[in-house]
Amino acid sequence: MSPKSIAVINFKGGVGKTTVTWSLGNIISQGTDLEVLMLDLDPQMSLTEAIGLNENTGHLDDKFGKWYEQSLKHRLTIYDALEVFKKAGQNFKFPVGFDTIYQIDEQLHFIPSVEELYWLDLDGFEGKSVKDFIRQFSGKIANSPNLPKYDLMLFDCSPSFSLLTYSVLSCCDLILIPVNPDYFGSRGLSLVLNSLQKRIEPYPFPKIAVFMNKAKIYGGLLTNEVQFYMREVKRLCAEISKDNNIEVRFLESTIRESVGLKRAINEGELPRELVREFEQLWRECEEYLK
Amino acid sequence: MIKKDILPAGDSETGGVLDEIGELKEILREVSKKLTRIEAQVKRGVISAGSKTSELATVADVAKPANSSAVSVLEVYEELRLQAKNGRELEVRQKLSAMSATDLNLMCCELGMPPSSKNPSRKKMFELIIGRIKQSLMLSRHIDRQTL
Repeated sequence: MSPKSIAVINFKGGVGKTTVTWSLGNIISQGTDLEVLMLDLDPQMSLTEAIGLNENTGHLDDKFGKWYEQSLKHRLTIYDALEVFKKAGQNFKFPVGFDTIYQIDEQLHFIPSVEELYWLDLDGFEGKSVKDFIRQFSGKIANSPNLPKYDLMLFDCSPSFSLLTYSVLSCCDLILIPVNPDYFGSRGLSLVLNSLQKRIEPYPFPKIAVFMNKAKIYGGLLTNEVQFYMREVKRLCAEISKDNNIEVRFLESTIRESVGLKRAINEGELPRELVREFEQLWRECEEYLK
Repeated sequence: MIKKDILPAGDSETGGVLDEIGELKEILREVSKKLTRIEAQVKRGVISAGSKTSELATVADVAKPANSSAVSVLEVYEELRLQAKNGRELEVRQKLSAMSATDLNLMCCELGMPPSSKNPSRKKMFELIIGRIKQSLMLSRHIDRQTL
């Protein structure tokens, strides 16, 4: 059975896509028996940097850094796979193994980003030729005898509409959109949803889930401002669902704004209250994916 | 770093105390949440009740008693939003003009924009509310070049 895939995306930057991907990856791999593969598709490489920083080796040994260097040297990164795919198309052959996939721990594995992803357009890649890349690449991973049978693939997408984003959105099972309680963070949702149907034409059409991230809390309650944007975003989801005949679900899970989260991604464990919130978010996603 | 790393094995008494401190902190957090909830309710009540006795309330304001619960001002906001969506801006302004300063203030608070001064002008509160309505309309706006 092929793994379920979730793309975390918003065309607005800074809404927390990377922290959400990282936190979900950690929560799911630690709290369930699922095998999780995270992929960083953002050339800004925030998730990739975070994995390097977050390694709990107890000393300064840069285990991930050394592995990454080898992966780059032997041309085994996701960018290299994409280059091969561009030339070979349907006859795509690429050796996926633990030279391409990094083992963070037993149940959580990772494919890092590379700087070259910035220059895909300049390097002569075209939408048409890249659209099927993630579908084929995921298929290779799922069918590889040298790799575990992943249950879930989590994609951290870039905030712009890049070729890789196009490829992921055209084949994933769930598009997870974090929005923030402000105008621009909420507006990004509308941009994703509009371009999805008109430009991407995914098949089959993915489920779409939206939730409020970085919600301000006062005395344990959501502030009125957060509630205002939650109502607006919920309404927007309902309108888009109705007008376009697609299913956009506004999730009840809300992730609070927390300095602890920013620290956690660099330094260690998630704060306890955030663990509960991410567990709830995952439960809702899992239920929706069924 | 987890607790068992810090404590020597067998030092269960200290571990127990730490657990109790953790539980107490959880209880205090709950108490804090409840207090905040009560505080918010009291503040709303004060805003609702304050208009008639406010020194700075205009005669016109006094003539327009506060109606107002958080739920009802949000219902009014929703009406205004729909009117604005249908291009009836004049009606929106008329409706806002007919509201008491207290209700306008409460609406601003419920929309997450409490006016910065203690006695905000009606003009300022108008601007805040109109700004929220505008945001709401623009969030779902999408200009399709094909249809132009």
